[in-house]
Amino acid sequence: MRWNLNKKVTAGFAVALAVMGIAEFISYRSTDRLVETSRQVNHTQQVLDALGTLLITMDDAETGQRGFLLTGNDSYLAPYDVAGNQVSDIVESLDKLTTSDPVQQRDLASLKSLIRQKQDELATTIALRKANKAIEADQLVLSGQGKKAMGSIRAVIARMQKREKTLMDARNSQWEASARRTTLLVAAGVVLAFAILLFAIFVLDREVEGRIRAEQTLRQSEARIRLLVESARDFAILMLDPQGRVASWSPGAERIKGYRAEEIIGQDWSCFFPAEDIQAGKPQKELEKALADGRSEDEGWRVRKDGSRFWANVVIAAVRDEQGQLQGFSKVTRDVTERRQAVEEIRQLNQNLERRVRGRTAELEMANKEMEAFTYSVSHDLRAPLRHIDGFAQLLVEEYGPQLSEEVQSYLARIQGGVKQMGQLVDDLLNLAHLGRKEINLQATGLGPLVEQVVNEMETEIGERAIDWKIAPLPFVECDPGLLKQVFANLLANAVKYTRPRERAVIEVGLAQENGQPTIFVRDNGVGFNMKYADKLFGVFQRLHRAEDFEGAGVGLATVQRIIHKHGGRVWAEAEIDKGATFYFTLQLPADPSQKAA
Amino acid sequence: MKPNCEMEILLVEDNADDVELTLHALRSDKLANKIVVARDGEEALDYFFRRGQFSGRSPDSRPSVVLLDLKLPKVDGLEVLRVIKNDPQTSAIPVVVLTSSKEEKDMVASYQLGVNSYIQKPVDFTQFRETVKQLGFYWLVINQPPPAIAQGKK
Repeated sequence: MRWNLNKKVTAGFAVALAVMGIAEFISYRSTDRLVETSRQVNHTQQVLDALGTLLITMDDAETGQRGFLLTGNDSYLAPYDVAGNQVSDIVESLDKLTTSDPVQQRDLASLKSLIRQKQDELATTIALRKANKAIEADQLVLSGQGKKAMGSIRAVIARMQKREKTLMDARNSQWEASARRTTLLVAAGVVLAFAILLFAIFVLDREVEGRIRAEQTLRQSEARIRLLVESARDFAILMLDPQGRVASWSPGAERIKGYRAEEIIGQDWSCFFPAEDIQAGKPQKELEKALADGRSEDEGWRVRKDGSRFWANVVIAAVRDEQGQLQGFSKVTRDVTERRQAVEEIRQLNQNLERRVRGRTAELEMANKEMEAFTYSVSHDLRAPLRHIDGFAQLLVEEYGPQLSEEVQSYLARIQGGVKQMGQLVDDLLNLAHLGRKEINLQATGLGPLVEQVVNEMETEIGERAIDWKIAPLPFVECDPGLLKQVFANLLANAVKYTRPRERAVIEVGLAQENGQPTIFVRDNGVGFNMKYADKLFGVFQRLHRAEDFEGAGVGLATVQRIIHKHGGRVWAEAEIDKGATFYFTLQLPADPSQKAA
Repeated sequence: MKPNCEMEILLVEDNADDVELTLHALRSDKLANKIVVARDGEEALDYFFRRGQFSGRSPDSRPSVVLLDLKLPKVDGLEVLRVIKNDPQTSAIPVVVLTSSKEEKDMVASYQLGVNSYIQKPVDFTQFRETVKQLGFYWLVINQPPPAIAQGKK
C-alpha cells in the first residue's frame, strides 16, 4: 500500500514535471521565434529607412542640381556632392540588407541602374552648366530624361518599401498566431501539471492525514500502555536491551526493587540476582532461554537495592522487530514472597497437623491396644473365677445337698444366680467391645430369612408362651448379616421379654417409610415404657425396669445402637406404658464407592 | 464302646480350680484311667519330649487327646501348639483347645497352627461338665486315634 502510494506520487510528480518541461520548451521556442521576428522587423525597418534616406538623398541631389543650374552658384552643389557620396553607401547597405530576398535584389539592381541614369543626367547637366553651356543644359533638363528617371526611382523605392512592409506584416501575423498557440499550449500544460500536482498533493495529504491518525492512535495506545505499566504497582515492568542492561523502569519496579530510574537505567540486570545465582551464571541463562524459546519464566530469590531478598515470579520475553532483529527483552517481575510464605505456612501447618494426627493415631492405637489387652484379659480372667464359683457351688449342692439346710441351698442357688448374671454381663460387654473393633462386612442380605432364623433360635426362651408373630415381607439390603442378626435377636428378645405379662403377645416386624426412607420396625404389645426416659434407652447399663421384674444387664440396646450406627443408620423408639413399644431403625449405608469416585 | 484303659489324656492347665473341676467332670464318667496334668507350657513340652519330670515316660505311651489351655505361664498354649504341630513326632496327636477365651485372634491362630478342636469353657458349671464329658467321649470313644506309625515313631 505504501509502496504503491510512493509509486503513484512519484509518477504524478514525474508527469507534472514532464508536462511543465514540455510547456517550458514550447515557450522557449516561441520566445526564440519572437526575438527572431523582432530582429526581422528591425531589419525591415532598416531597409525602409535606407530606402527613405535614398529617396531624400536623390531629391537633395536633384534639388542641388536645379539650384546650380538656375543660379550657377557653386554653393548649391554642396547637397549634390553630399548625396553623391551617400548614395553609394546607402545602396551598398541596401544590397547587404536584402541579400536574402531575390525580389528586392532584382528591384535593387534596377534601382541602381536608374540611380546611375539619374546621376549621369545630373552630372551631365552640371558639367554643361559649368562649361557655361546653360542652354544645352536646360534643353537636357527639359527633355524630361532626368525627371523620368527620378519618377522610376520613386516608383521602385515605393515598390520596395511596400514589399518590405508586406513581408513584415506577414511575419507579424505568423508570429502572432504562433504566440497565441504557444500561450494556449503553455496554459494547457500548466493547467494539466497543476491538476496532476493537485491530485498528488490530495493523495499525499490523505496519506499524511492517515499517518497522523495512525500516529495519534499509536500515541494513545502507547500512553495507555505507559499508564498501565506505571500504575501496575505490584509488578515491576521493564525493558532490557539485547545485552541485558536496564532500558526502561517503572514505578512498580521502583517500589519492588528500590532503585530509582536514574540509578538503574543502563546497569546490567544481574544486580537483581543474589550473588550465588550470578556466580552460577543464572542471569545469562535466563536471557538465553528467553532467546531460544521466546519466553522464560522463573521463580526464585531476587535482591532489592538495600540487599534484602524477596521471592519473585519473573517472566522474560524476547522482543524482536518486524525483521526478527532482537530489540531487547521485556521483563515482568512480581513479588510473591507473601504467597510463598502463605504456602510455606500452610505446608508447616499441614506438617504440624500430620504430626499431631500421627501422634493422636499412635495414642489411639495405644489406647486400642490397651483396650484389646483389657478385653482379652477380661474374657480370660473374669470368666474363670465365675466358673469356679459356680462349679464348686454346684459340687456342694450335688455332693452335700442332703446334709445342707434349705437356707444354705437357697444361698447357694443365689450365688449361682449371681454368677450366671455376671457371666452374661461379661459376655455382653465383650461383645459390645468387640463390635467397636470389628470391620463391617457388607453383603446383600434378605432380612426376612434373618428374622425367621432369629425367631427359630428363640424357641427355648418362648417355651409354651402364646406369641402372635406378624412378620411382613422384608427387603434385601446391603448390611453385615451377622451384625443385623444380632440387632434382630436383641430387639425380638426384648419384645418377647417385655410381653411376658401378656396372655397373648403380639410381636410385629415390618417395613415403614419415615421421611421417605425405608425403616424397619419391631413392635410389641408389652409393658412399654415412659417416653420421658427414651433418651436413656440406648445407654450402656441403662435400664428402665427393675431386675426382679425383667432380667437384663442394659447392654442389648446399646449393642443394637452401635451396630446401626456402624451401618450409618439411626435407631429410635416409641412407647407408651402398658400399651407396648416400637423400635425403628434405618440403614443409611455409605454411598456407592463407584459413585463416590465419579 | 468302652473307653480304652490304655488311653491317656494330657490336661494342660495352670489354674488349680480348673484342673479340679475338669478332672471332676472327666472322672465322673470314668472316661479315662490316666489323666496327666501339666501346669504350664514348659511342663507340657517336657511331657512330649520326655524331659524333666517326664524323662522316664515310655516313648510308647501317648495321649489320645490333649486338652490345652491358652493362657499359661512360661510358654503359652499357642506356642505349645506350634511346637507339637510342627514336630513330626507329635504332630498327629489330637489337640483340643479348652479355654475361657472366645477371642477371634486366638481361634484363628489355633486353627492355623492345626488345632483339632476349639472349645470355650462355659461359665455355667453344669454346661461345662456336659461339654467336657462330651469331648472326652468323642475323642476317647468315637474318634479313631492316629495309628502309631503316624505319630512319628521310629
